[in-house]
Amino acid sequence: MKKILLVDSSPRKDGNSDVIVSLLAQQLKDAEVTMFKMREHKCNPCLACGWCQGKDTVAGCVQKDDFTTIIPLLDTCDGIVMATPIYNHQINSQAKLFIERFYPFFNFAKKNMSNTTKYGKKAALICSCWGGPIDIYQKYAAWTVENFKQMGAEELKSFVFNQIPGRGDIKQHPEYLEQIRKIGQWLLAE
Amino acid sequence: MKVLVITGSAHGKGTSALMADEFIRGAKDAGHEVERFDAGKAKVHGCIGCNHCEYGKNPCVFRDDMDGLNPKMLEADVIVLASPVYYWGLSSQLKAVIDRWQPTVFSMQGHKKVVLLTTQASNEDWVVKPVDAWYKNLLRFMEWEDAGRLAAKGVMTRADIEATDYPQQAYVLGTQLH
Repeated sequence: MKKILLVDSSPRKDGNSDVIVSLLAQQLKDAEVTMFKMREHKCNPCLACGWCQGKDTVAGCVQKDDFTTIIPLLDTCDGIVMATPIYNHQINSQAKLFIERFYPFFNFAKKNMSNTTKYGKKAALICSCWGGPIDIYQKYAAWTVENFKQMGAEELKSFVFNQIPGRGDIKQHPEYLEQIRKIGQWLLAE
Repeated sequence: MKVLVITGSAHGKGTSALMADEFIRGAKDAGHEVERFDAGKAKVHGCIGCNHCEYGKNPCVFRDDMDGLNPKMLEADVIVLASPVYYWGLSSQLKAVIDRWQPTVFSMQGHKKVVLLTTQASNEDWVVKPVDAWYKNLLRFMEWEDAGRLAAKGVMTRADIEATDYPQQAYVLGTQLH
């Protein structure tokens, strides 16, 4: 059974990111899905203390917060999806915080500089926004999802869903819903 | 001029802190009034996008260190951002401050200068490319004038950066503000 981690970094309950991870969770009934809604958890920023560095395997983190509890899952899952709103032309600070906490996976000497015990994971970054320079956002999202190589992802996808400023506006866009369905299929595929 | 330096590192004596220190020394030597805000030590809740502030009509729902920073940002002639590059971006602590510009963003548009100082362990240019793309967007959206962009590369530790002329470059940039 595929182990999938769905991360919602949006502070909004019932927002577009919430809708995205809920739809995926429904579709992935036959997978072992863990939902991590950052607004419901305590996640501190990485302090770059370096405790996790220089180890042969993923050692965890000195911080005793909710993020630390999912590090083993980040290491062993088959796929991860992060749904985030765009704030100030980028993923929001909560999503940025999540990615910075990948630091325990950093090992310069290893493949993709990753200490993971499992390579070949799938990672998708799904950004929702009101509008703006979409070509730049898409390029930026494609850059950002590359960061998931740190936790062992090798198959990467990124998406920018535009013109959905309101809570749950994505439901009015069948083209986006179809893309989410395809992401779900992709996560389940070998 | 009023200069506001916002740093993003959790390290008080790290590489980007040194860049900020030297920039501040230069700006003070040139007679500018400098304020500093260390986001890595501050209490700043991430923006929750509630738009209770209605872009500045009402105060933010959070009472934290942004209360003190907001008036300083509005008053500043120059905003200086100093951050380590973490995962191809500014630190999340600094990103949290920037996301909290929601109430001040439109009041700050159009009449400020900005400086961006970054430090990174890697020597590779691609590591900082997304930061530069974002910076260009920031300049365009805020209609701010770039008053200096300094990217220190290949500096993992304090000793690394002390062995380069990046701190000197940051000092000079501070003296050149006008």
